[in-house]
Amino acid sequence: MLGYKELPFEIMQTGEFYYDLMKSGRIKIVRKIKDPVTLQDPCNIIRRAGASEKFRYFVNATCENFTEMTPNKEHNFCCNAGGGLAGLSNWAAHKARGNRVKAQQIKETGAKVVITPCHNCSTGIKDVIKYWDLGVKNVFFDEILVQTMDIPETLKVGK
Amino acid sequence: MAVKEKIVSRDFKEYVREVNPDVGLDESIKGLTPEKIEKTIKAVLGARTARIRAVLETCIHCGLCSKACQWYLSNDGDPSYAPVAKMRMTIWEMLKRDGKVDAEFIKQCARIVFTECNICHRCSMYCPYGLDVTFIIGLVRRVCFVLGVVPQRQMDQDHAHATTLNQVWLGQNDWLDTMQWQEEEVGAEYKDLRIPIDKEGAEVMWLPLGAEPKTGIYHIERTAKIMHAAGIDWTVPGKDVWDSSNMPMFLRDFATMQRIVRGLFDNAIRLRIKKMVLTE
Amino acid sequence: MFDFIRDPSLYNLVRGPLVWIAFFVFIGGSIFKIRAMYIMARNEKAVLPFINGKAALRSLLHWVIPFASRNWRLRWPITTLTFVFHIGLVFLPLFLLSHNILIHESWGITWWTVSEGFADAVTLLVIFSCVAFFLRRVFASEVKFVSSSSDFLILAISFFPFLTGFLAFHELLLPYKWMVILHMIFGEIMLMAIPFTRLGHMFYFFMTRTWMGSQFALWNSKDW
Ligand code: HEM
Ligand code: HEM
Ligand code: SF4
Ligand code: SF4
Repeated sequence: MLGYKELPFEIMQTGEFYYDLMKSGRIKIVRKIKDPVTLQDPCNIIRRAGASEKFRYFVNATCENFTEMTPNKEHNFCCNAGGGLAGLSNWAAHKARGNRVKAQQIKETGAKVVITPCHNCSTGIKDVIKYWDLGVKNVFFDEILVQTMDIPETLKVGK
Repeated sequence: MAVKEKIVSRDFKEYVREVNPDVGLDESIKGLTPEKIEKTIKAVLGARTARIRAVLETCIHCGLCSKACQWYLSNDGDPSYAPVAKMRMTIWEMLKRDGKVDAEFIKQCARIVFTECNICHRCSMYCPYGLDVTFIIGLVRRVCFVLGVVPQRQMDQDHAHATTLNQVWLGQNDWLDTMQWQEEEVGAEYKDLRIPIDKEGAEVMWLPLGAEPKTGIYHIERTAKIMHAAGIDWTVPGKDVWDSSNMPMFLRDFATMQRIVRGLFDNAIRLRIKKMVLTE
Repeated sequence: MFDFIRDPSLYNLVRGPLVWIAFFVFIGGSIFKIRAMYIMARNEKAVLPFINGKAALRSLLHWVIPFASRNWRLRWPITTLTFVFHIGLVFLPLFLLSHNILIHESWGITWWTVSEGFADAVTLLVIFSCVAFFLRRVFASEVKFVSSSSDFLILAISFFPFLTGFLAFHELLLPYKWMVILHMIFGEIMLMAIPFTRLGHMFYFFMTRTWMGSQFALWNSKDW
């Protein structure tokens, strides 16, 4: 981040953190999402942090039926809520109209769920889904994980 | 869908847009004087650094970046949405007219840089020279920010950051309150579930997006569950800054931006954590 | 040079001193511009520490090889056009028989040359590319919107040495001698214009790619 080169700690996005947890076995995936899904690659974490393979690992581990958007990874299109545009709710139609390519991308995958790893993307994708009437759902990374991971019974109250 | 009223730009006949009222643009330009505009432009663009020059003196106006931009593609190849066009309609014109532009022009610039570019860097990947168009967009944003011409909701978030160091005007006690409330809430289901606040030496410091404790509480719930299930030694900071978003960075409000970054790092150093996990 | 002192005709002027001046301005100006950019980059502290030589090289290679980057593939017609244009523009003059003869007359050295027929064909291709670029500037909306007179000027600067060279070779339009004089003048204008117009992209290209290649490497990503 911004001009700080050597830090005494690591910085990572939650998606990358989940990847670490899964890779190191601290979290076990016991169920898989059955619906066809696709993934929105956030510019910030893919184009500017190179996390694309980690996110693919995450999605493949938690979902059965994953279709890529084309183009994807660092060539993916922005959700149109990045760059500080997420908060501009009074410009939502303008933003969603300006992202017809995203609507087409999503349609072409045939997915029922668009997974977003980032809050900005979530806002943008929801606007796109609504404006272009795509009839798909937007789901956040943490929700996928909570739905599919193993929560040992022994942790629960009353067990 | 209702057909909205259109405006044709006075300066560029190709720039045709729907009218989209925004107090931050429409009202704030009323206080601008030509002198103020010229002074600001010269202050921001005056020191022609390597990165500005490299873009301005290399760009061959070839338009190969246009199809990189989702705005351009989504609007049927409207030339005024191309990345290079965004430079043409803002910085080139400012420099050509030596800063002598009027308030209406600044408003148009603000609309272009704040609502029609996502700083996504895709154009830099498609320009044969790898020119950083976003750097130029950032400079124009800086000009508009210094002049106070920013869409209202973005400016409001910036003010929230400047005042409370988070984007949603959440006071420190509300933040702590929310964390404790969530701890109780999720803790009712799971044994020994904690949301440790200000735990020194924890392995992981988790930082939410400002909106989560306000309107996205379920994210905090899920995070607590994930951390608990994985048995992570984690913590959230009890002092500002805990919001990982940074609107001032996007508006090029450097002073507030630096305060946020410093605040996050100070928390990390203070708590001697090993990993900083950011939602944004 | 001495021919000019003995016989100060227009031909000897453009054949002698002006060639020297042109090369001096071209090389000196380029060095000056590159140095100025380097010093500016050094003063702007956030540039040089982030340069990553290996990443820069990889990025450069993907963009100087035709179709090695995604945009070169997506825009294949323009890519073909621009590579034909640039290879002709940069390498043909170096390996042209007539240029080599002139160099031989002056310094007594020669190197490998291409056949006249081949040179002629490449010249025509470059002329054709210039026309195509011109049409693109006039008719393609995204290019038209950002074109100004300077764009047409630099296109013309690149175009006329080839046109006049071709006409001279085939002794068309004007008497050979006059056409060659015109050609030399245009060639010299082009050389002198390179450092001081956006034709300077010839060397800035390598610098901007170095910067963006390093940026993307820092971001664990790639820019092609
Ligand atoms: C700097 C001074 C230059 C001089 C003195 C010069 C001189 C000449 C001469 C004497 C010819 C011979 C014409 C013939 O075949 O009878 C020629 C041809 C040619 N020159 Fe140059 N030239 C110069 C610069 C350039 C430059 C900068 C370019 C292009 C980038 C160029 C491109 C050509 C081409 C393409 C031909 C040949 C056309 C053909 O064979 O169809 N010249 N030049
Ligand atoms: C070896 C170094 C050079 C490199 C790497 C280079 C690279 C490029 C690139 C990437 C473009 C943009 C793509 C396009 O529009 O086709 C371009 C355009 C152009 N270059 Fe070069 N170039 C070099 C040398 C030159 C020279 C020596 C000249 C002429 C004196 C020149 C004249 C032009 C012109 C006129 C255009 C614009 C075409 C248009 O109108 O779109 N280039 N160059
Ligand atoms: S950075 Fe801006 S101009 Fe460039 S592709 Fe993204 S949205 Fe378009
Ligand atoms: S691709 Fe690069 S050089 Fe061409 S117009 Fe866009 S920014 Fe300028």
